[in-house]
Amino acid sequence: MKGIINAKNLNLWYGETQALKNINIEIPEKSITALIGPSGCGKSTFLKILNRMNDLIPIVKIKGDIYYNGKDIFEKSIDVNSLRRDIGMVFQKPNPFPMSIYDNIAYGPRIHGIKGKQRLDEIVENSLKDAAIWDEVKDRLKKNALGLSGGQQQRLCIARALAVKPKVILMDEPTSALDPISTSKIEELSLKLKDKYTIIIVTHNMQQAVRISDNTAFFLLGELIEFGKTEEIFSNPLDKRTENYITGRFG
Amino acid sequence: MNLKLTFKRKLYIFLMKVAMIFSTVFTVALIAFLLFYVLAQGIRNINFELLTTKPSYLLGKIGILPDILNTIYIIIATLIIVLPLGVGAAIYLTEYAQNKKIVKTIEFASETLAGIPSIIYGLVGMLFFCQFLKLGTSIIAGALTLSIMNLPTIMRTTEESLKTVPQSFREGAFGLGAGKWRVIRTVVLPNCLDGVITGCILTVGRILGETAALLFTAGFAHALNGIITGLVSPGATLSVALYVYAKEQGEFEIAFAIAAILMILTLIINLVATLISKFFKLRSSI
Ligand SMILES: Nc1ncnc2c1ncn2[C@@H]1O[C@H](COP(=O)(O)OP(=O)(O)O)[C@@H](O)[C@H]1O
Ligand SMILES: [Mg+2]
Repeated sequence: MKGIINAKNLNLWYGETQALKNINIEIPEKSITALIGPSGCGKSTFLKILNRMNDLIPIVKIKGDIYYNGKDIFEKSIDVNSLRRDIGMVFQKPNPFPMSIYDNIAYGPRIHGIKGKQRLDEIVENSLKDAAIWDEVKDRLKKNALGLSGGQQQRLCIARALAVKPKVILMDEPTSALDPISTSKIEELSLKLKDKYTIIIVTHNMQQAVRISDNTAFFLLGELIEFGKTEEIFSNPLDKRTENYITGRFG
Repeated sequence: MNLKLTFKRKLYIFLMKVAMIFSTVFTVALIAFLLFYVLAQGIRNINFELLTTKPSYLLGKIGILPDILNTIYIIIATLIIVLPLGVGAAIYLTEYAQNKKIVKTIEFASETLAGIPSIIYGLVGMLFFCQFLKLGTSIIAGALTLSIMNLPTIMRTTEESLKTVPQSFREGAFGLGAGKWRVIRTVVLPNCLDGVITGCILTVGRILGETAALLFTAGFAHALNGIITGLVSPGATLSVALYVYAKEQGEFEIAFAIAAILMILTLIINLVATLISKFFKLRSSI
Protein backbone atom coordinates (compact mmCIF):
# COMPACT_ATOMS: atom_id res chain seq x y z
CA MET A 1 0.00 0.00 0.00
CA LYS A 2 1.34 3.38 -0.90
CA GLY A 3 1.07 6.48 1.27
CA ILE A 4 -1.53 8.97 0.09
CA ILE A 5 -0.54 11.58 2.66
CA ASN A 6 3.00 12.19 3.66
CA ALA A 7 4.19 14.64 6.31
CA LYS A 8 7.86 15.60 6.36
CA ASN A 9 9.46 17.41 9.30
CA LEU A 10 6.21 19.17 10.01
CA ASN A 11 6.17 21.87 12.70
CA LEU A 12 3.29 24.13 13.64
CA TRP A 13 3.01 27.07 16.00
CA TYR A 14 0.00 28.94 17.36
CA GLY A 15 1.70 32.28 17.88
CA GLU A 16 4.61 31.39 20.16
CA THR A 17 3.41 27.96 21.32
CA GLN A 18 4.50 25.02 19.28
CA ALA A 19 1.68 22.52 18.81
CA LEU A 20 3.33 20.08 16.38
CA LYS A 21 6.98 19.09 16.60
CA ASN A 22 8.79 17.59 13.69
CA ILE A 23 6.11 15.15 12.57
CA ASN A 24 7.02 12.52 10.00
CA ILE A 25 4.29 10.15 8.94
CA GLU A 26 3.11 8.33 5.85
CA ILE A 27 -0.57 7.47 5.81
CA PRO A 28 -1.58 4.47 3.71
CA GLU A 29 -4.35 4.68 1.18
CA LYS A 30 -7.80 3.04 1.58
CA SER A 31 -7.38 2.20 5.22
CA ILE A 32 -8.32 3.64 8.56
CA THR A 33 -5.67 5.47 10.51
CA ALA A 34 -6.44 6.33 14.12
CA LEU A 35 -4.80 9.26 15.88
CA ILE A 36 -4.69 8.82 19.63
CA GLY A 37 -3.15 10.69 22.54
CA PRO A 38 -4.11 12.78 25.57
CA SER A 39 -6.12 15.92 24.91
CA GLY A 40 -4.11 18.94 23.87
CA CYS A 41 -1.41 16.82 22.25
CA GLY A 42 -2.09 18.16 18.75
CA LYS A 43 -4.32 15.51 17.15
CA SER A 44 -6.92 17.96 15.89
CA THR A 45 -4.23 20.37 14.82
CA PHE A 46 -2.55 17.67 12.75
CA LEU A 47 -5.85 16.55 11.27
CA LYS A 48 -6.89 20.06 10.28
CA ILE A 49 -3.63 20.88 8.66
CA LEU A 50 -4.14 18.04 6.16
CA ASN A 51 -6.80 19.98 4.28
CA ARG A 52 -5.47 23.35 5.39
CA MET A 53 -8.34 24.24 7.68
CA ASN A 54 -5.68 26.00 9.77
CA ASP A 55 -5.69 28.70 7.11
CA LEU A 56 -8.71 30.07 8.95
CA ILE A 57 -6.58 30.80 12.03
CA PRO A 58 -4.35 33.80 11.33
CA ILE A 59 -1.76 33.15 14.07
CA VAL A 60 -0.72 29.75 12.72
CA LYS A 61 2.84 29.35 11.45
CA ILE A 62 3.98 26.22 9.66
CA LYS A 63 7.38 24.78 8.81
CA GLY A 64 7.87 21.55 6.93
CA ASP A 65 5.93 19.81 4.17
CA ILE A 66 2.86 17.74 3.58
CA TYR A 67 2.48 15.84 0.36
CA TYR A 68 -0.88 14.68 -0.87
CA ASN A 69 -0.54 12.26 -3.76
CA GLY A 70 3.01 13.52 -4.14
CA LYS A 71 2.01 17.20 -4.33
CA ASP A 72 3.10 19.72 -1.71
CA ILE A 73 -0.14 21.12 -0.27
CA PHE A 74 1.50 24.34 0.92
CA GLU A 75 2.65 25.24 -2.56
CA LYS A 76 1.33 28.54 -3.89
CA SER A 77 -0.20 26.94 -6.96
CA ILE A 78 -2.42 24.63 -4.89
CA ASP A 79 -6.12 25.44 -5.03
CA VAL A 80 -7.25 25.05 -1.43
CA ASN A 81 -10.86 24.58 -2.46
CA SER A 82 -9.99 21.60 -4.65
CA LEU A 83 -7.75 20.22 -1.92
CA ARG A 84 -10.66 20.36 0.52
CA ARG A 85 -12.88 18.74 -2.05
CA ASP A 86 -10.46 15.83 -2.17
CA ILE A 87 -9.86 15.75 1.57
CA GLY A 88 -13.19 16.10 3.33
CA MET A 89 -13.85 16.58 7.00
CA VAL A 90 -16.28 15.45 9.67
CA PHE A 91 -16.19 17.43 12.87
CA GLN A 92 -16.45 16.54 16.53
CA LYS A 93 -19.82 18.17 16.97
CA PRO A 94 -22.25 17.38 14.14
CA ASN A 95 -22.60 20.62 12.19
CA PRO A 96 -25.30 20.27 9.57
CA PHE A 97 -26.23 23.57 7.94
CA PRO A 98 -29.57 24.98 9.07
CA MET A 99 -31.26 24.00 5.82
CA SER A 100 -33.08 20.98 4.44
CA ILE A 101 -31.49 17.53 4.46
CA TYR A 102 -31.45 17.61 0.68
CA ASP A 103 -29.77 21.01 0.51
CA ASN A 104 -27.16 19.93 3.04
CA ILE A 105 -26.06 17.08 0.82
CA ALA A 106 -26.38 19.06 -2.40
CA TYR A 107 -24.35 21.94 -0.94
CA GLY A 108 -20.96 20.50 -1.85
CA PRO A 109 -21.83 19.32 -5.36
CA ARG A 110 -23.47 22.69 -6.06
CA ILE A 111 -20.41 24.69 -5.08
CA HIS A 112 -18.36 22.54 -7.40
CA GLY A 113 -20.65 23.40 -10.27
CA ILE A 114 -22.92 20.38 -10.49
CA LYS A 115 -26.37 21.41 -11.70
CA GLY A 116 -29.54 19.70 -12.82
CA LYS A 117 -32.14 18.22 -10.53
CA GLN A 118 -31.67 14.70 -11.77
CA ARG A 119 -27.93 14.59 -11.17
CA LEU A 120 -28.27 16.21 -7.77
CA ASP A 121 -31.08 13.85 -6.78
CA GLU A 122 -28.86 10.96 -7.69
CA ILE A 123 -25.89 12.25 -5.72
CA VAL A 124 -28.07 12.99 -2.70
CA GLU A 125 -29.56 9.52 -2.74
CA ASN A 126 -26.24 7.73 -3.23
CA SER A 127 -24.46 9.76 -0.56
CA LEU A 128 -27.21 9.16 1.96
CA LYS A 129 -27.19 5.44 1.13
CA ASP A 130 -23.41 5.28 1.47
CA ALA A 131 -23.69 6.97 4.85
CA ALA A 132 -26.35 4.42 5.92
CA ILE A 133 -28.97 7.02 6.66
CA TRP A 134 -31.10 6.93 3.51
CA ASP A 135 -33.87 4.76 4.95
CA GLU A 136 -34.25 7.06 7.92
CA VAL A 137 -34.55 10.29 5.95
CA LYS A 138 -35.83 9.42 2.49
CA ASP A 139 -39.35 10.63 3.34
CA ARG A 140 -38.24 13.90 4.87
CA LEU A 141 -35.56 15.21 2.52
CA LYS A 142 -37.16 18.66 2.47
CA LYS A 143 -37.24 18.92 6.27
CA ASN A 144 -34.68 20.91 8.20
CA ALA A 145 -31.59 18.88 9.02
CA LEU A 146 -31.44 20.33 12.53
CA GLY A 147 -34.52 18.23 13.36
CA LEU A 148 -32.49 15.01 13.18
CA SER A 149 -31.00 13.31 16.23
CA GLY A 150 -27.32 13.82 17.01
CA GLY A 151 -26.30 10.46 15.58
CA GLN A 152 -28.34 11.05 12.44
CA GLN A 153 -26.84 14.52 12.09
CA GLN A 154 -23.35 13.07 12.22
CA ARG A 155 -24.15 10.49 9.55
CA LEU A 156 -25.71 13.29 7.53
CA CYS A 157 -22.43 15.19 7.84
CA ILE A 158 -20.60 12.11 6.61
CA ALA A 159 -23.01 11.92 3.69
CA ARG A 160 -22.41 15.60 3.02
CA ALA A 161 -18.69 14.96 2.93
CA LEU A 162 -19.15 11.95 0.62
CA ALA A 163 -21.26 13.96 -1.81
CA VAL A 164 -18.25 15.78 -3.24
CA LYS A 165 -16.52 12.44 -3.92
CA PRO A 166 -13.47 12.92 -1.72
CA LYS A 167 -10.48 10.59 -1.59
CA VAL A 168 -9.71 11.16 2.06
CA ILE A 169 -12.09 11.73 4.96
CA LEU A 170 -10.80 13.34 8.13
CA MET A 171 -12.87 12.68 11.25
CA ASP A 172 -12.21 14.56 14.47
CA GLU A 173 -13.67 12.54 17.35
CA PRO A 174 -16.84 12.00 15.31
CA THR A 175 -18.54 9.89 17.97
CA SER A 176 -17.55 11.69 21.15
CA ALA A 177 -20.87 13.53 21.29
CA LEU A 178 -22.97 10.46 20.45
CA ASP A 179 -24.71 7.63 22.27
CA PRO A 180 -23.36 4.04 22.02
CA ILE A 181 -25.82 2.95 19.34
CA SER A 182 -25.04 5.87 17.07
CA THR A 183 -21.37 5.34 17.77
CA SER A 184 -21.45 1.75 16.62
CA LYS A 185 -23.38 2.76 13.51
CA ILE A 186 -20.64 5.21 12.63
CA GLU A 187 -17.95 2.64 13.32
CA GLU A 188 -19.65 0.12 11.02
CA LEU A 189 -20.00 2.80 8.43
CA SER A 190 -16.31 3.68 8.62
CA LEU A 191 -15.36 0.04 8.11
CA LYS A 192 -17.60 -0.07 5.04
CA LEU A 193 -16.19 3.16 3.65
CA LYS A 194 -12.54 2.20 3.86
CA ASP A 195 -12.81 0.12 0.70
CA LYS A 196 -13.26 3.33 -1.24
CA TYR A 197 -11.79 6.04 0.96
CA THR A 198 -8.82 6.76 3.13
CA ILE A 199 -10.06 7.57 6.61
CA ILE A 200 -8.10 9.36 9.30
CA ILE A 201 -9.91 9.43 12.60
CA VAL A 202 -9.03 11.16 15.85
CA THR A 203 -10.37 9.26 18.81
CA HIS A 204 -9.93 9.34 22.55
CA ASN A 205 -11.62 5.97 22.77
CA MET A 206 -8.97 3.29 22.65
CA GLN A 207 -11.44 0.45 22.07
CA GLN A 208 -12.68 2.34 19.07
CA ALA A 209 -9.18 2.61 17.66
CA VAL A 210 -8.72 -1.13 18.12
CA ARG A 211 -12.12 -1.98 16.63
CA ILE A 212 -11.85 -0.02 13.43
CA SER A 213 -8.35 1.14 12.61
CA ASP A 214 -5.63 -0.54 10.59
CA ASN A 215 -2.89 1.77 11.77
CA THR A 216 -2.53 3.90 14.86
CA ALA A 217 -0.48 7.00 15.53
CA PHE A 218 0.20 8.01 19.12
CA PHE A 219 0.78 11.71 19.78
CA LEU A 220 2.14 13.26 22.94
CA LEU A 221 2.80 16.96 23.56
CA GLY A 222 2.94 17.74 19.88
CA GLU A 223 5.22 14.85 19.00
CA LEU A 224 4.42 11.71 17.07
CA ILE A 225 5.73 9.07 19.44
CA GLU A 226 4.84 5.94 17.58
CA PHE A 227 3.08 4.91 14.40
CA GLY A 228 2.37 1.41 13.21
CA LYS A 229 -0.10 -1.42 12.80
CA THR A 230 -2.89 -1.08 15.33
CA GLU A 231 -2.47 -4.64 16.69
CA GLU A 232 1.19 -4.03 17.26
CA ILE A 233 0.77 -0.64 18.89
CA PHE A 234 -1.75 -2.08 21.29
CA SER A 235 -0.15 -5.48 21.94
CA ASN A 236 3.48 -4.63 21.70
CA PRO A 237 4.25 -0.92 21.84
CA LEU A 238 7.86 0.00 21.26
CA ASP A 239 7.85 3.14 23.33
CA LYS A 240 7.34 3.20 27.08
CA ARG A 241 5.15 6.32 26.78
CA THR A 242 2.82 4.57 24.34
CA GLU A 243 2.52 1.65 26.70
CA ASN A 244 1.75 3.96 29.61
CA TYR A 245 -0.95 5.67 27.62
CA ILE A 246 -2.70 2.62 26.24
CA THR A 247 -2.69 0.93 29.61
CA GLY A 248 -4.42 3.99 30.97
CA ARG A 249 -1.60 5.25 33.15
CA PHE A 250 -2.21 8.82 32.03
CA GLY A 251 -4.44 10.94 29.80
CA MET B 1 -25.86 45.84 69.32
CA ASN B 2 -27.11 43.14 67.02
CA LEU B 3 -30.66 44.30 67.48
CA LYS B 4 -29.79 47.87 66.62
CA LEU B 5 -28.08 46.82 63.43
CA THR B 6 -31.06 44.77 62.33
CA PHE B 7 -33.33 47.72 62.90
CA LYS B 8 -31.11 50.02 60.86
CA ARG B 9 -31.00 47.41 58.17
CA LYS B 10 -34.76 46.98 58.24
CA LEU B 11 -35.30 50.70 57.95
CA TYR B 12 -32.87 50.86 55.09
CA ILE B 13 -34.59 48.03 53.23
CA PHE B 14 -37.98 49.58 53.88
CA LEU B 15 -36.92 52.99 52.59
CA MET B 16 -35.29 51.49 49.53
CA LYS B 17 -38.44 49.54 48.80
CA VAL B 18 -40.57 52.64 49.08
CA ALA B 19 -38.21 54.56 46.81
CA MET B 20 -38.24 51.79 44.23
CA ILE B 21 -42.00 51.41 44.26
CA PHE B 22 -42.40 55.16 43.98
CA SER B 23 -40.09 55.44 40.97
CA THR B 24 -41.74 52.49 39.25
CA VAL B 25 -45.22 53.87 39.78
CA PHE B 26 -44.09 57.32 38.72
CA THR B 27 -42.52 56.04 35.50
CA VAL B 28 -45.46 53.87 34.58
CA ALA B 29 -47.90 56.66 35.36
CA LEU B 30 -45.96 59.13 33.27
CA ILE B 31 -45.88 56.82 30.27
CA ALA B 32 -49.52 55.88 30.69
CA PHE B 33 -50.52 59.52 30.92
CA LEU B 34 -48.53 60.43 27.83
CA LEU B 35 -49.95 57.56 25.81
CA PHE B 36 -53.46 58.14 26.99
CA TYR B 37 -53.35 61.90 26.50
CA VAL B 38 -51.93 61.76 22.98
CA LEU B 39 -54.20 58.94 21.86
CA ALA B 40 -57.28 60.57 23.39
CA GLN B 41 -56.50 63.90 21.80
CA GLY B 42 -55.43 62.36 18.52
CA ILE B 43 -57.72 59.49 17.68
CA ARG B 44 -60.90 61.52 17.62
CA ASN B 45 -59.32 63.75 14.96
CA ILE B 46 -58.32 60.88 12.73
CA ASN B 47 -60.80 60.25 9.97
CA PHE B 48 -60.83 58.76 6.54
CA GLU B 49 -60.74 62.09 4.78
CA LEU B 50 -57.70 63.24 6.73
CA LEU B 51 -55.82 60.14 5.71
CA THR B 52 -56.75 60.21 2.04
CA THR B 53 -56.60 63.82 0.92
CA LYS B 54 -54.09 66.58 0.55
CA PRO B 55 -54.43 69.95 2.24
CA SER B 56 -56.48 72.52 0.37
CA TYR B 57 -56.52 76.19 1.25
CA LEU B 58 -59.49 76.73 -1.04
CA LEU B 59 -61.62 74.31 0.91
CA GLY B 60 -59.90 75.21 4.15
CA LYS B 61 -59.19 71.56 4.83
CA ILE B 62 -56.16 69.63 5.88
CA GLY B 63 -55.27 66.13 4.67
CA ILE B 64 -52.12 64.26 5.46
CA LEU B 65 -51.92 61.83 2.55
CA PRO B 66 -48.85 63.60 1.08
CA ASP B 67 -47.08 63.36 4.43
CA ILE B 68 -47.89 59.66 4.70
CA LEU B 69 -46.57 59.06 1.20
CA ASN B 70 -43.45 61.13 1.84
CA THR B 71 -42.77 59.08 4.94
CA ILE B 72 -43.09 55.88 2.93
CA TYR B 73 -40.86 57.23 0.13
CA ILE B 74 -38.16 58.32 2.51
CA ILE B 75 -38.23 54.99 4.35
CA ILE B 76 -37.89 53.06 1.10
CA ALA B 77 -35.14 55.29 -0.26
CA THR B 78 -33.17 55.26 2.97
CA LEU B 79 -33.32 51.49 3.31
CA ILE B 80 -32.27 51.01 -0.30
CA ILE B 81 -29.24 53.22 0.27
CA VAL B 82 -28.26 52.18 3.76
CA LEU B 83 -28.79 48.40 3.57
CA PRO B 84 -26.10 47.51 1.04
CA LEU B 85 -23.67 49.96 2.65
CA GLY B 86 -24.27 48.85 6.23
CA VAL B 87 -24.46 45.12 5.55
CA GLY B 88 -21.46 45.31 3.23
CA ALA B 89 -19.39 47.17 5.80
CA ALA B 90 -20.38 44.71 8.51
CA ILE B 91 -19.39 41.76 6.32
CA TYR B 92 -16.08 43.34 5.54
CA LEU B 93 -15.31 44.16 9.16
CA THR B 94 -16.23 40.76 10.60
CA GLU B 95 -15.31 38.38 7.80
CA TYR B 96 -12.49 39.96 5.85
CA ALA B 97 -10.62 42.66 7.74
CA GLN B 98 -7.37 41.30 9.16
CA ASN B 99 -6.23 44.31 11.14
CA LYS B 100 -8.23 44.10 14.36
CA LYS B 101 -7.04 47.55 15.47
CA ILE B 102 -8.58 49.22 12.46
CA VAL B 103 -11.78 47.25 13.00
CA LYS B 104 -11.93 48.44 16.61
CA THR B 105 -11.31 52.03 15.51
CA ILE B 106 -14.07 51.88 12.92
CA GLU B 107 -16.46 50.35 15.42
CA PHE B 108 -15.64 53.09 17.90
CA ALA B 109 -16.09 55.76 15.24
CA SER B 110 -19.44 54.36 14.19
CA GLU B 111 -20.62 54.24 17.78
CA THR B 112 -19.64 57.86 18.20
CA LEU B 113 -21.39 58.69 14.96
CA ALA B 114 -24.54 57.13 16.32
CA GLY B 115 -24.48 59.47 19.30
CA ILE B 116 -24.23 62.75 17.40
CA PRO B 117 -27.38 64.94 17.65
CA SER B 118 -29.43 64.62 14.51
CA ILE B 119 -29.57 68.35 13.89
CA ILE B 120 -25.86 68.22 13.08
CA TYR B 121 -26.54 65.57 10.46
CA GLY B 122 -29.20 67.90 9.11
CA LEU B 123 -26.81 70.80 8.86
CA VAL B 124 -24.10 68.75 7.16
CA GLY B 125 -26.67 67.05 4.93
CA MET B 126 -28.00 70.40 3.82
CA LEU B 127 -24.54 71.73 2.98
CA PHE B 128 -23.35 68.54 1.30
CA PHE B 129 -26.35 66.91 -0.37
CA CYS B 130 -28.64 69.88 -0.98
CA GLN B 131 -26.06 72.49 -1.90
CA PHE B 132 -22.78 70.85 -2.86
CA LEU B 133 -24.36 67.93 -4.76
CA LYS B 134 -27.16 70.27 -5.92
CA LEU B 135 -29.95 67.92 -4.92
CA GLY B 136 -31.88 70.84 -3.46
CA THR B 137 -34.28 70.42 -0.58
CA SER B 138 -35.73 67.07 -1.47
CA ILE B 139 -36.82 63.71 -0.10
CA ILE B 140 -33.75 62.12 -1.65
CA ALA B 141 -31.43 64.56 0.14
CA GLY B 142 -33.31 63.71 3.33
CA ALA B 143 -32.96 60.00 2.63
CA LEU B 144 -29.22 60.34 2.07
CA THR B 145 -28.86 62.22 5.34
CA LEU B 146 -30.91 59.59 7.17
CA SER B 147 -28.78 56.89 5.55
CA ILE B 148 -25.63 58.30 7.11
CA MET B 149 -27.41 58.66 10.42
CA ASN B 150 -28.54 55.04 10.38
CA LEU B 151 -25.50 53.46 8.83
CA PRO B 152 -23.97 52.69 12.24
CA THR B 153 -27.19 51.04 13.41
CA ILE B 154 -27.45 48.70 10.45
CA MET B 155 -23.75 48.02 10.59
CA ARG B 156 -23.72 47.19 14.28
CA THR B 157 -26.82 44.98 14.33
CA THR B 158 -25.54 43.08 11.30
CA GLU B 159 -22.09 42.75 12.81
CA GLU B 160 -23.48 41.48 16.09
CA SER B 161 -25.52 38.82 14.38
CA LEU B 162 -22.66 37.85 12.05
CA LYS B 163 -20.65 37.16 15.16
CA THR B 164 -23.35 34.86 16.49
CA VAL B 165 -23.32 32.59 13.42
CA PRO B 166 -21.60 29.45 14.73
CA GLN B 167 -18.04 29.01 13.52
CA SER B 168 -18.95 25.36 12.89
CA PHE B 169 -21.18 26.39 9.96
CA ARG B 170 -18.27 28.19 8.35
CA GLU B 171 -15.94 25.25 8.99
CA GLY B 172 -18.44 22.83 7.51
CA ALA B 173 -18.71 24.86 4.33
CA PHE B 174 -14.99 25.54 4.01
CA GLY B 175 -14.37 21.85 4.61
CA LEU B 176 -16.39 21.04 1.50
CA GLY B 177 -14.23 23.33 -0.59
CA ALA B 178 -16.43 26.41 -0.66
CA GLY B 179 -14.77 29.76 -1.34
CA LYS B 180 -15.00 32.56 1.17
CA TRP B 181 -17.66 34.64 -0.54
CA ARG B 182 -19.79 31.59 -1.14
CA VAL B 183 -19.57 30.60 2.50
CA ILE B 184 -20.69 34.09 3.47
CA ARG B 185 -23.49 34.17 0.93
CA THR B 186 -24.92 30.71 1.49
CA VAL B 187 -24.22 29.89 5.11
CA VAL B 188 -23.42 33.06 7.05
CA LEU B 189 -25.78 35.71 5.69
CA PRO B 190 -28.97 33.61 5.75
CA ASN B 191 -28.31 33.01 9.42
CA CYS B 192 -27.99 36.64 10.34
CA LEU B 193 -31.10 37.87 8.55
CA ASP B 194 -32.64 38.53 11.95
CA GLY B 195 -29.91 41.04 12.73
CA VAL B 196 -30.38 42.80 9.41
CA ILE B 197 -34.13 42.91 9.94
CA THR B 198 -33.72 44.23 13.47
CA GLY B 199 -31.49 46.96 12.09
CA CYS B 200 -34.10 47.83 9.47
CA ILE B 201 -36.83 48.05 12.07
CA LEU B 202 -34.77 50.30 14.31
CA THR B 203 -34.00 52.44 11.29
CA VAL B 204 -37.65 52.72 10.31
CA GLY B 205 -38.45 53.68 13.88
CA ARG B 206 -35.84 56.39 13.83
CA ILE B 207 -37.00 57.71 10.48
CA LEU B 208 -40.56 57.93 11.76
CA GLY B 209 -39.41 60.04 14.67
CA GLU B 210 -36.85 62.19 12.92
CA THR B 211 -37.53 65.89 12.40
CA ALA B 212 -34.42 67.97 12.98
CA ALA B 213 -32.34 66.43 10.21
CA LEU B 214 -35.26 66.51 7.78
CA LEU B 215 -36.28 70.12 8.34
CA PHE B 216 -32.95 71.11 6.82
CA THR B 217 -32.81 68.61 4.02
CA ALA B 218 -36.26 67.41 2.95
CA GLY B 219 -38.25 70.53 3.72
CA PHE B 220 -41.93 70.74 4.62
CA ALA B 221 -44.01 70.74 1.47
CA HIS B 222 -47.36 68.93 1.38
CA ALA B 223 -47.65 68.32 -2.34
CA LEU B 224 -49.09 65.03 -3.54
CA ASN B 225 -46.45 63.25 -5.66
CA GLY B 226 -45.72 59.86 -7.11
CA ILE B 227 -42.56 58.19 -5.86
CA ILE B 228 -40.25 59.43 -8.63
CA THR B 229 -41.29 63.08 -8.53
CA GLY B 230 -41.66 62.74 -4.79
CA LEU B 231 -38.03 61.80 -4.34
CA VAL B 232 -36.70 64.90 -6.08
CA SER B 233 -39.24 67.29 -4.57
CA PRO B 234 -39.28 68.74 -1.09
CA GLY B 235 -41.75 67.07 1.21
CA ALA B 236 -42.68 66.74 4.86
CA THR B 237 -42.75 63.39 6.59
CA LEU B 238 -45.37 62.80 9.29
CA SER B 239 -43.10 63.99 12.08
CA VAL B 240 -42.11 67.12 10.21
CA ALA B 241 -45.74 67.76 9.35
CA LEU B 242 -46.59 67.43 13.02
CA TYR B 243 -44.05 70.11 13.83
CA VAL B 244 -45.23 72.38 11.05
CA TYR B 245 -48.93 72.07 11.84
CA ALA B 246 -48.42 72.56 15.56
CA LYS B 247 -45.78 75.25 15.54
CA GLU B 248 -46.48 77.29 12.47
CA GLN B 249 -50.15 76.87 11.79
CA GLY B 250 -51.51 76.26 15.27
CA GLU B 251 -53.45 73.25 14.01
CA PHE B 252 -53.22 71.26 17.20
CA GLU B 253 -55.98 68.84 16.30
CA ILE B 254 -54.09 67.76 13.21
CA ALA B 255 -50.85 67.64 15.14
CA PHE B 256 -52.36 65.35 17.73
CA ALA B 257 -53.91 63.19 15.05
CA ILE B 258 -50.47 62.75 13.50
CA ALA B 259 -48.94 62.14 16.91
CA ALA B 260 -51.45 59.39 17.56
CA ILE B 261 -50.72 57.83 14.18
CA LEU B 262 -46.99 57.92 14.83
CA MET B 263 -47.47 56.37 18.23
CA ILE B 264 -49.57 53.56 16.82
CA LEU B 265 -47.02 52.96 14.07
CA THR B 266 -44.20 52.82 16.62
CA LEU B 267 -46.19 50.34 18.64
CA ILE B 268 -46.76 48.20 15.55
CA ILE B 269 -43.08 48.35 14.66
CA ASN B 270 -42.08 47.20 18.10
CA LEU B 271 -44.57 44.37 17.97
CA VAL B 272 -43.32 43.30 14.57
CA ALA B 273 -39.72 43.41 15.83
CA THR B 274 -40.62 41.20 18.78
CA LEU B 275 -42.54 38.79 16.57
CA ILE B 276 -39.70 38.55 14.08
CA SER B 277 -37.10 37.83 16.70
CA LYS B 278 -39.42 35.21 18.20
CA PHE B 279 -39.88 33.69 14.77
CA PHE B 280 -36.14 33.46 14.20
CA LYS B 281 -35.53 32.00 17.65
CA LEU B 282 -38.19 29.43 16.97
CA ARG B 283 -36.78 28.56 13.59
CA SER B 284 -33.23 28.21 14.84
CA SER B 285 -34.36 25.92 17.64
CA ILE B 286 -35.97 23.36 15.34
N1 LIG C 1 -6.82 28.12 17.65
C1 LIG C 1 -5.82 27.91 18.55
N2 LIG C 1 -5.11 28.94 19.02
C2 LIG C 1 -4.12 28.73 19.92
N3 LIG C 1 -3.78 27.54 20.40
C3 LIG C 1 -4.44 26.46 19.97
C4 LIG C 1 -5.51 26.59 19.02
N4 LIG C 1 -6.01 25.36 18.76
C5 LIG C 1 -5.27 24.50 19.53
N5 LIG C 1 -4.34 25.17 20.24
C6 LIG C 1 -3.35 24.55 21.16
O1 LIG C 1 -2.61 23.58 20.48
C7 LIG C 1 -2.44 22.43 21.26
C8 LIG C 1 -2.99 21.22 20.53
O2 LIG C 1 -4.41 21.33 20.44
P1 LIG C 1 -5.32 20.29 19.67
O3 LIG C 1 -4.73 20.03 18.35
O4 LIG C 1 -6.70 20.79 19.70
O5 LIG C 1 -5.17 18.99 20.60
P2 LIG C 1 -6.07 17.68 20.65
O6 LIG C 1 -6.99 17.66 19.49
O7 LIG C 1 -5.09 16.58 20.63
O8 LIG C 1 -6.79 17.71 21.94
C9 LIG C 1 -3.12 22.70 22.58
O9 LIG C 1 -2.14 23.08 23.50
C10 LIG C 1 -4.05 23.82 22.30
O10 LIG C 1 -4.18 24.65 23.42
MG1 LIG D 1 -9.14 17.71 19.46
